Amino acid sequence: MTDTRCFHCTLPVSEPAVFFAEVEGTQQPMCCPGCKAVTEAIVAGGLENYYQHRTESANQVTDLNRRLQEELQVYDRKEIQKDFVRPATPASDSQNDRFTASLLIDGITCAACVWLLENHLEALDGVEQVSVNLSTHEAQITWRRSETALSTLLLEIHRIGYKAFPWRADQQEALLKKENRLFIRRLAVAGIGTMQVMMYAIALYSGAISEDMPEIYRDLIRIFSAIVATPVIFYSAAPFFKAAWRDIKIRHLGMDVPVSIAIGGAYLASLWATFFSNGEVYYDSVSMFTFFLLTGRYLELRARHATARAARALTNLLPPSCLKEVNGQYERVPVAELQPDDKVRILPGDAIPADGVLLNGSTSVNESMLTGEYLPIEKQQGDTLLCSSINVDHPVDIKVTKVGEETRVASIIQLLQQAQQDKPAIAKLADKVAGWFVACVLLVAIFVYWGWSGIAPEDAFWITLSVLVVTCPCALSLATPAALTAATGYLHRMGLLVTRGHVLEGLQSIDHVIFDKTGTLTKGELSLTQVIPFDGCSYSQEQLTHLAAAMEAHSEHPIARAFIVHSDSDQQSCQQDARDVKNHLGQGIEGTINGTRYRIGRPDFAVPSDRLEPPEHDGQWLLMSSNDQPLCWFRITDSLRPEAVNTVQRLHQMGKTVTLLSGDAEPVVAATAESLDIRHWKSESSPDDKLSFIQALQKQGHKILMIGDGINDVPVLAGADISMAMGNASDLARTSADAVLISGNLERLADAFNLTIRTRKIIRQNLAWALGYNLAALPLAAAGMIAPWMAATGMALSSLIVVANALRLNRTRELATKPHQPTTPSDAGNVGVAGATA
Amino acid sequence: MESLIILIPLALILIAVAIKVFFWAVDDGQFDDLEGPAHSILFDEPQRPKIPKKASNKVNKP
Repeated sequence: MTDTRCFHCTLPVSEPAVFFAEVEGTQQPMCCPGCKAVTEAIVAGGLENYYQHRTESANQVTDLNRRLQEELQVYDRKEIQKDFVRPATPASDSQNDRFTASLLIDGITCAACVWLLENHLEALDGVEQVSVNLSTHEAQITWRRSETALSTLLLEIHRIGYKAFPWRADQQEALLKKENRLFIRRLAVAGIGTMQVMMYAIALYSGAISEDMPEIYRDLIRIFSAIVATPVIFYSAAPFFKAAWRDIKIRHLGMDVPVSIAIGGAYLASLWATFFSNGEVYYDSVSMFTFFLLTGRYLELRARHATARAARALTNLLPPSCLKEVNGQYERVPVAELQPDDKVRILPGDAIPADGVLLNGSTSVNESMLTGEYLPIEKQQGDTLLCSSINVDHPVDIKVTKVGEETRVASIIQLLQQAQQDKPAIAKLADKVAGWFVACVLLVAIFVYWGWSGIAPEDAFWITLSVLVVTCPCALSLATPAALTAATGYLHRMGLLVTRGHVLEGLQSIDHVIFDKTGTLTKGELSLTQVIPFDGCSYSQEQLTHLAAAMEAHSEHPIARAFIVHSDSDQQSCQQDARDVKNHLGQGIEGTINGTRYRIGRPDFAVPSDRLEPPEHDGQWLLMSSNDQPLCWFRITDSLRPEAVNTVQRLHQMGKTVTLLSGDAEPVVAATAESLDIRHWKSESSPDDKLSFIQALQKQGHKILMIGDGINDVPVLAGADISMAMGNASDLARTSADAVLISGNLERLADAFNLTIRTRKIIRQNLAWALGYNLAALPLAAAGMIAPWMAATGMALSSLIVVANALRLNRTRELATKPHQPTTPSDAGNVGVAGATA
Repeated sequence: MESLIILIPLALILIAVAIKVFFWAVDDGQFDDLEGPAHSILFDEPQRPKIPKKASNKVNKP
């Protein structure tokens, strides 16, 4: 593990860096071809200022490929566009060519992204106006359809490292917008009202202190204060009353109940004092209280909207389609229309749309999403292919046997629904405090009233009221939400999107972290990790790798990509060119380099005359031979994410138990566990096994955090106390998880635990402060020594302190950019591409 | 002090107007993005002329 980080996405890069891109004259390290391509596209567009302006790192990007381009072209079809593209000029114009598309952009991390997107797109032909909303990640693009196809615009967005989805502004979105605007209105009324009432209150205070204000003026000011405060109470504070009424109906004491008692009680008493010209008025306190609380709630609302939107974006994809044979021709139809016995063609790289039987030929499929097995599985004619597995090798035809509810995936989804029902609930700290608090305040108020009615009956009511106002739980009810909102927002910017509310409070109690293997701890793609030459082989390991890379350059098999990464690292090696390259399906590849015939593949293919056994049983071993003489073994495995070792180590240091729970074969899981220093692991687990495994742990009282990506992880994700999905996980996993690791950087997980500890500390400080203030003021109020102006000042100060304290969570920048702890070299040596040439 | 009798109602009218204007701004969508506009002024670049996208490159060092 090193400190080298990708210039674009700032993920760690394993040494030596393989990819570079030139930015303003300097060669910058890149983590993957995707980031390299994006950086080059940004520089080529003259927009390298982005890297100076940005305040957050970009997300790691996947490689652009032909397939994506073809898929994007589906968006050029008018019937698909009608959902999210509308004419920019009135429809009556017959020459109408200007259209506006609403898109949702995935991958926006800071304001520089908005600048980059707008400038990059506006430089394109035919684009008239682009506006990107930083809060909602919505983009409005106005362009001339005859000059540029929509798919070109989408492709350009992908080229600079973002993803674009059609944004159908549906009812839910309209509701969010309406709620947001209504809240801003409430906030404005409360804010302006508070300022005005406070101005009158200053006059009243000074009059009260100097005791020379004529009563007529005092009453006049009180009446106008009442006029201004009334809309604040009835319009701005309405949500609190509604929520309190709801709480009382279901017999649950939330924070809204004491809040409503304080606001409503003080307002009514002030009205009474105004009209009967006696006692005290608390219009200023009431308005200010409403305003502070609304501000807190508004921050909460915005965080909630942001996550709701992001969660919806995960599901806002094109309906999946497939190629179905109709009258001897293949047509693209939505998957939902498939029936059993339909014949479907599946191209390499496509997901299989339904369970089916292979009709002709053979291929291999990747079932890692369903089983966790990372190597492609060979399928012959007559074999069953499972829905959601991915075809790797050849275009094949299948006959559909099961669709929809009957498929294997659907049975996993049923398991998911069961698991969701059994999910343990996490109690909220604030609500626990609230119930206790309400009871105390009401008891004290009754006691004070009873006490004073014996001593001075005419003052009893006013003193009781001042007790209610002083103990008004303003700071108390801001304490938790302000801290949680600040922390959630910070996590989001760090690349961890929290989609369910209980995550931050729940993380504190987690003692057991369970990882899936394929795609979570590993990258889910194959790479070359070891080269073992035979005795007497005259080539060096490097030469062997380069020879293999030259041959594999002619193949599109996932295994080939493991070699090609190496050839990029060393430009001179690419001089070699393989001729007459032939792919033998399921066997290997053969070709001629500089007149010598080489073969790479299964042992019985590379050296048919001799039965050679791989040096070890686990992992996938390929044999390379020249003219029937064995040269070396290549070991191909799914490489670990570079930050995995460090993350697991940090989790161990925090005292968490880490478990590896995988559907993959035992030797592979054991090796992965060993290289990560994970002591507990379980292999060959079906989705049922995984779920029962965590439920058994939960019965023992453990609190479980599960991190996974595949469809086979979905039931466990739903059943775990808290679940996280990787950013590139299957859609189902992402939508059923409580949080999504958008950046794909596992270290964010350890950061999240750190942040939780800090958050809890801040919540505790806040609660302690708020309770302490209330307790200190209570005896003074009960003794009748608190004037309205003291109550107002104290409340304002304690609220501001609580909010300012919570905002400190937002400033923990160093968390995201903290350099790696150096790890032991043996850990790093086992993993990553560096191992092959070591 | 007598001026209060005119000035306070006058202030009330001004508040009403201010709230009215604010409501209009909310409905106009001016509060839909509270983060972007704050940053966008910092990135002010002269609008580049509309030219085919590949030709707009800055000088790239080899």
